[in-house]
Amino acid sequence: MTNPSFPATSRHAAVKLAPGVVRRSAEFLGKAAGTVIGCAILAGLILAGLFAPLPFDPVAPDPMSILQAPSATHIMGTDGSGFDVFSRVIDSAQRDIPLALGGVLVSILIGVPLGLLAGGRARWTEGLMRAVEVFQAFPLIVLAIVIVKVSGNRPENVILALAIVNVPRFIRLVRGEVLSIRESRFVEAAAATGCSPARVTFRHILPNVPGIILVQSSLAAANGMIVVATLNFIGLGADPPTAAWGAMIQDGSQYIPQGAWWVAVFPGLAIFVTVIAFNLIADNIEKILRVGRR
Amino acid sequence: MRSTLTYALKRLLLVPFMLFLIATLSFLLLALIPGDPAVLIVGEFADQETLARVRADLGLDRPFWEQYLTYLAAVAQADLGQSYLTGTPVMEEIGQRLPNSLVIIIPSLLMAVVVGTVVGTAGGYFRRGPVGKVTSVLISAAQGVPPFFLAIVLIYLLVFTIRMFPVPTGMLYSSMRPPPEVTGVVPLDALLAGQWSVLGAITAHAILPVIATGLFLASYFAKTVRTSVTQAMATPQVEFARACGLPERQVVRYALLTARTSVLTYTAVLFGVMLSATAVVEVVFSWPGIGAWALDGVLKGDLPIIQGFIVVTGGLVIIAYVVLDVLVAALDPRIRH
Repeated sequence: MTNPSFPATSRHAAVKLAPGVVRRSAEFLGKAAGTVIGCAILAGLILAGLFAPLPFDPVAPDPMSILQAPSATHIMGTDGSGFDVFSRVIDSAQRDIPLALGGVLVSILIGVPLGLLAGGRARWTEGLMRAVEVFQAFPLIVLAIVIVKVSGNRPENVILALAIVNVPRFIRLVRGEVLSIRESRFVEAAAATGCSPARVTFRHILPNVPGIILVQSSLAAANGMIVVATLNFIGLGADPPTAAWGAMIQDGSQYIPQGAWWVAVFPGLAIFVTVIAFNLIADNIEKILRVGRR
Repeated sequence: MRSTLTYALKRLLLVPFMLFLIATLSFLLLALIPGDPAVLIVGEFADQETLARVRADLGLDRPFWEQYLTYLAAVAQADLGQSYLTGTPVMEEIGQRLPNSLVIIIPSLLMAVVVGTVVGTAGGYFRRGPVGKVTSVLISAAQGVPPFFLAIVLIYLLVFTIRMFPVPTGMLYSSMRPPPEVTGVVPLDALLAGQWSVLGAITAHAILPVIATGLFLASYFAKTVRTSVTQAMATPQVEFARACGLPERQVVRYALLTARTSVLTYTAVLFGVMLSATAVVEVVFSWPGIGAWALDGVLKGDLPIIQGFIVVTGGLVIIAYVVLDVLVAALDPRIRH
């Protein structure tokens, strides 16, 4: 309808297009909603951990109420030392989730430039990929554990450990994407018009990579959450009595034979919800990208 | 066939080199770790003389590059040193514990492959329908449950609530006498002695850890299969197969044929992940496997154990990758050239 010289055609087209446009926008909103919900869950958890008034002090045990089942006072029960499980589950969020995110951020900062370089045509890129392969053959989770064990229970060490686990996959992913984009017509055209290799890489290839990086970051964060929980579970990454989901599960596992399931189950559910939120974000961004590409 | 052989040879020639890299990396990494092994062995209150003697015994007083060369020479002869704390040769311990871990790793890998392939294929084929939605929810949910957490939930429900499985205290019932020692590997010894009750006990104890690790890995596997099946369903050859009027079952079979390369690749990757991923589950079930042992070594700072574990699992993974690459090349002519 912007073109006044063909009023009939454009009106016709508009009428025909309308249902499609409506359906597509609805679809897009549906997918965007998944991403928004995922982000809202994560933000809600972190903000609740930071600012919400907790019913009990997460690091002050009440020796008078040990191992109580969920009730109106302690909605998730209390653990063997008399800590309120609900307060500790909420309090952990602001430490555990940012750790997973921080790990991903560092992995991107290291992995993406290396992946771009490895997507080049130079001879040595093959060598770099072999090195990445050897590195991936390493039991990375054990490596992460060694790092945190040796360098101490500080957040930056956990983030470093996560980065080591995740960097190889960002390198491989970005390289794969760069190699496939390199084959496309517009890159060929850019090279034919005399663009330098650097210009081709940064102006024509790089802008096409972020989508897949976004999807992968969300997946890596989900995986990072599990790694953080694993570290905490074996007693690394958080000094007691600081609350951390993995450590709470470990602590709760000793009360399982007595039937006190709540100490371990609620922090486990918190991990579950967080990972689902990250996955929701990844899946929906992927769908939005697929629509965009079509 | 010839090109496959050349390719296989090329890859095989790289193996020693990669093993060398792994050994070097693990040496460097652990050499950078602060702390004095001598103190770990004789304790903090030992006098200087004893400490110096222990250091000399370990070769820690020699220059760095000499230690490195000694280490490489030893690894080349399959000597991974002795545990600082117990004095047992690392290689011997690995030989006894690795098979125990495989009792869990191989069935859960199989479970991951079977469940993952079925769920992933269904999810990829019916991507737009309700089946696709359900599978995608299932996959997301399974990814959100860390294996050690699933293990604890299973123990609570199936061991302590309905008492269907034995209490998770290792491979055998506490009242059971281990089979006569021949190889030192309990499942193998039981087999040699023909003690079926022992084998039965091992199986009963292994089911829950297998489910706990298998389900988590199946979710990742399903995701990979779903992606490759979705891609395969969009290829011209599937369109052609349909145009030829082939039944849908046949079409799916061809789509899976295209997808099998990435599926195989992922199986090898998973094998690598599992070697260390089972560690925590082994701890939860007190399973006498290599992962739980390595984890204990890490937490106690027992360097030879950590180094030995890294070298052996890294080596196994590299061999798995090479076998896989050759297999993929044999199946897919595009790779060979």
